[in-house]
Amino acid sequence: MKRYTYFLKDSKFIRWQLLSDSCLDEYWKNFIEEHPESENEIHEAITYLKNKGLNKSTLTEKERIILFDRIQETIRHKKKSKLQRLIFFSSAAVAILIIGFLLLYPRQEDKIILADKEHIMGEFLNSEDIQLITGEESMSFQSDIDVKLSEEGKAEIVQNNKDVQQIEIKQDQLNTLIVPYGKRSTLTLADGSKVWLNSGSVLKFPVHFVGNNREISLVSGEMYIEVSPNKKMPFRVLSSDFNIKVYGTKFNVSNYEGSAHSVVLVEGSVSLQSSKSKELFLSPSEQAVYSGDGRFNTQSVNVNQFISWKNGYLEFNKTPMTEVLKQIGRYYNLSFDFGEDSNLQKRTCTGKIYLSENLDNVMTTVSLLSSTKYSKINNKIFITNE
Amino acid sequence: MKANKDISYIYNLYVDDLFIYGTYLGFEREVVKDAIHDVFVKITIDSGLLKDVSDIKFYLFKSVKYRLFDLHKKSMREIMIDNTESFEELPFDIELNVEDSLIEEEEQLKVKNEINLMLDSLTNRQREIIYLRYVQEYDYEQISELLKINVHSCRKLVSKAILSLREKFGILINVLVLLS
Repeated sequence: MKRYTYFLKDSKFIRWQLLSDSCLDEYWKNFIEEHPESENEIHEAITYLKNKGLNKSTLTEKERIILFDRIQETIRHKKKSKLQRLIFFSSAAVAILIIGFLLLYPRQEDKIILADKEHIMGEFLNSEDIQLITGEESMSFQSDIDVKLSEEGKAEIVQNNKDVQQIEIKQDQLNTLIVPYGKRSTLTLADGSKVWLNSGSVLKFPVHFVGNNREISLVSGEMYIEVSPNKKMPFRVLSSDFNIKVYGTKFNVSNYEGSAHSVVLVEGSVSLQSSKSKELFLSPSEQAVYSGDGRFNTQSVNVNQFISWKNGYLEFNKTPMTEVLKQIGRYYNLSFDFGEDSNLQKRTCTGKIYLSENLDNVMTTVSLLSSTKYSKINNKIFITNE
Repeated sequence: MKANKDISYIYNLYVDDLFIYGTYLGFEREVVKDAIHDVFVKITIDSGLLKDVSDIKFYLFKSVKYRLFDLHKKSMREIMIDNTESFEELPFDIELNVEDSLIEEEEQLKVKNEINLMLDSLTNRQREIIYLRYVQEYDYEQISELLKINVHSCRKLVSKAILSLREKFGILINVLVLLS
């Protein structure tokens, strides 16, 4: 049997492919009739020549992603200035556009593609408000907030980077900040320490610190904190399984239900203590993962991977798809159903994902980084094999 | 609105083809990327552009090529005064790829030589037509638009190419056919 490369070396075959004439058509029609056993190889040769041979892109995956980001960036800039002009448009026009969009959107072809393929499905969950509970009072906010406490028991709350609000907080009670999935917030404590709260977090804190200790407690979720040094008043973070004693420092605590609880030290020094372990000191760039039996496993890590969320991106290095989607799900308030396809779940993701407001960009990057295909139908997200 | 949502889909679908086309036309990688960037920004910002487009890929090919030519003219103006308005002077070098772990290196070389020999005997425009017709499967009308020539000249270029290949590579084969 002839291999397909046999044909690729045959000038008559190449002429037939590239620049056919009736003579060559006739010849190859006869050839296939006389050698039906070669038909497969001929088709293979044709496919090879058309797709790979003459049309092989040298654009690397990285270049492809960077170029797309650049395009998005320019569009964002241009849109901003365009938006200012658009503001004068009547809301009716906008409404018509939205209706038109809704009518157009669910495309039939996408549905067909997905019909019987293995996939991971993501669904948007109902969005919840951020809540700040002080004493008996509770305030809610629809978008991300930055809270700044002052020594005098006042709090300045900035929503959306612009709407500023001042409130008084009663002295002697613990306050709670609840950041649901899909939202983020920052909190500057009375001593100047700054906390970044990731999606799905609950933090308890006093309006100002009294006595010999500074103490806050991360009931659940994830936070990154930069602690102001104060030797006279040690800082402690209580989490569900262990306490963290701080000696002027920057670190990340992850305390999500359903994921391993861990601490990553960026700078300075902290010690951890669970009810069953003796005090464990962490060095910078070290991660301690709490194991269920009260002990910790430590390892050195690339710190950036654990704190990049506070700067608006996620960084992955051969991270399993399931973990990647978990993080993205928290950030955008999506729940992913992983189905039963173990191949899709086994994929890993390496690279940076910018957490832009446009989930489409984010999911496109995920699919590029993990060699999967992403599509969105109505409010559902589908991830399939490429 | 719709174009925005689909932009990443369109991008991922066609960026490789557009990139190959640009580099075959002899442009530097970065210049090709710039042109692709400009075109995608344009079609996203001006969402009306794609409304009446029936063949998005073809539209993108045309836009990227025209954009590349504009960039080319701009850079030429800096070096010398040259007013040629046609695409005629552009090269078209098809990079043949035979990387396949299943083929031994010697075999790869043979395949490469055979096809390159044939492609080298053609003109730039003939090679471009072959690429657009065979790989991208455009029709004569679309190709003539991409080359800024009329359909008649386009067909003439093809028949000339067929003839010249037949002259250079056909006779030998005919002899072999007679012998077998």
